[in-house]
Amino acid sequence: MADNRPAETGATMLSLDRLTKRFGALSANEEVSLDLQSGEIHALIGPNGAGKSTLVKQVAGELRPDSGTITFNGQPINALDCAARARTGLGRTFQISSLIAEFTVLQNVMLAVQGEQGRTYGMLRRFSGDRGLTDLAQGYIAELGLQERADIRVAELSHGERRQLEMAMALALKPKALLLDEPLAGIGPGGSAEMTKLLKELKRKVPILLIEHDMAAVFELADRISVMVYGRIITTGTAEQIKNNPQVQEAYLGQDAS
Amino acid sequence: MTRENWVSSIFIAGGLLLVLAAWFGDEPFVITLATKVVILALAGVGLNLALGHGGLVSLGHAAFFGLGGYAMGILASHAQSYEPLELGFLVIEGTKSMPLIWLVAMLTSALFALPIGLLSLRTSGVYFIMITLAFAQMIYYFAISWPAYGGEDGLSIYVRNSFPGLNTLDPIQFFLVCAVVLAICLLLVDRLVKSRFGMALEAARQNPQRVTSLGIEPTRIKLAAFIISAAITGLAGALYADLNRFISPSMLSWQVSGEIMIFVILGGVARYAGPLAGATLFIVLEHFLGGMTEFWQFWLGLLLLVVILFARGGIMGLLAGERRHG
Repeated sequence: MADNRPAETGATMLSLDRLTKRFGALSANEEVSLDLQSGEIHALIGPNGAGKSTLVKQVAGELRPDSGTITFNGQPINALDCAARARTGLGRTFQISSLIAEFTVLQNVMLAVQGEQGRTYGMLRRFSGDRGLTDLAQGYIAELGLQERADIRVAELSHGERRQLEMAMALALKPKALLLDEPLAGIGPGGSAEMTKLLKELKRKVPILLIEHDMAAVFELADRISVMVYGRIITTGTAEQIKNNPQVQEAYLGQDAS
Repeated sequence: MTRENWVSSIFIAGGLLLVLAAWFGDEPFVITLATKVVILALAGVGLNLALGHGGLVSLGHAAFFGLGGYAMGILASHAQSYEPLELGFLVIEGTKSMPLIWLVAMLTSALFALPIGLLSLRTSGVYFIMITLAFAQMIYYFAISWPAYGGEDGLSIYVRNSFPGLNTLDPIQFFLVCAVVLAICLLLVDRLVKSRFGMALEAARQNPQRVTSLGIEPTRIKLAAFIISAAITGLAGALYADLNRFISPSMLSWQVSGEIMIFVILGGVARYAGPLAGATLFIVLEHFLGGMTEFWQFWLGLLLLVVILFARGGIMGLLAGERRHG
């Protein structure tokens, strides 16, 4: 279903045009516009409460924007629900690991493969012996280095392993773009280095919209960075530009210095 | 073979041996009791799919049980009076053929389950329980006030419906019919819960948000499971009506919904042989304790309390240990 050919670098995969979301008097996102080009990692940073999560939810389809349009792969997707957006190739990981707790690692990834294949109403063939699922799933598991943990239940995984499993599931969807909500949170320095390496390789195939708190990783990974403060994007630029932007230093990085 | 399979097999074999002994010992009452267990277990197998695997706590499965019963009653009553059922331009001949009646019972239940499920699945938790109960009560009161098929008094069918090549009035033959139907349903449901669909259902129960992000719609999956579950319970209803040769609104009452749920919980939620174990225990208690005291349901309640507090996996959980997936 999903076509996974790497698109030309520079083509716009995802674009948000003046998204606005208000909760009562609180304006969580105010005219947010940003885009994601194929071949790049576009990081979205900002202090807590800046409205990053609200934005992620709107892109994923959990929240409807009050105004503005979301265009994915050339198609407006405002009207699609979460599942439909996933089927068009928008993969995501969650800020807080969201997995099927009683399933094994393998079963989780197999379910993702099944979602990608779109054949969910098969009722008589055994899931566990379905080579159309297991072979592909094992591949994604190996890609994330979890092959020795394949038969472990999620409930018994470490936090870092759960993060890796989330990535494996996102990849199994053969996404055309990835929405990663804090993939490095809480996985420790070793895991963080591994994941950084993986994301660097991955971006050549799939452009990534990265929400992340780990500044060192963001500056290392991101081709472009957008800074969100109080629901607005105050600037977008390369790592160097962002580091030297006085507005950003004041609004965000300055917090650490003070 | 897993321990659960062993326990289930021994249990089923034991039951069959008991029936065999009753047949040789000429104890038709025991066979009839066993037939009742088998049919009620089948109703539980239906609910177990929705409740155990889909997490859909339906307190309205009596609706489907009763609808299956009424499907049988209506078809058979028209056959025994030789008056076809006239619905405007549509004229339906009654029938005494079990396979045909089963088909109609399952389709009727599934047809009702579609809108009930669509509306109920917009809610969850306590609201889901209440809305399924409300639908069942609606159908119950409709049946009471509908005079055409006996109203509150119910309707007797004088001769048990027929199955090609069998004498269904012979208790052992009718028992075998029911047992084979149960076995087929158990096998199909077991297949189903281990299939792609079953795993998606299991996942949708545990984490619908995650399932959605994989491009699978959890509500649609649950709706499909609810409909299949209703069809199985409807089939059990048709058999139950045939066992008693009688239908009445009491088949649709909420007590029946509660009893079907008790079979599932007592036997072990989401366990393969759980409903069978639960229905067996229930009928044994009803029969023996009921013979000793009028207050047997007090002891049933106490037992249920113990199971819920100390043995969440029910009888099967107690005997077969922790549940494993896949």
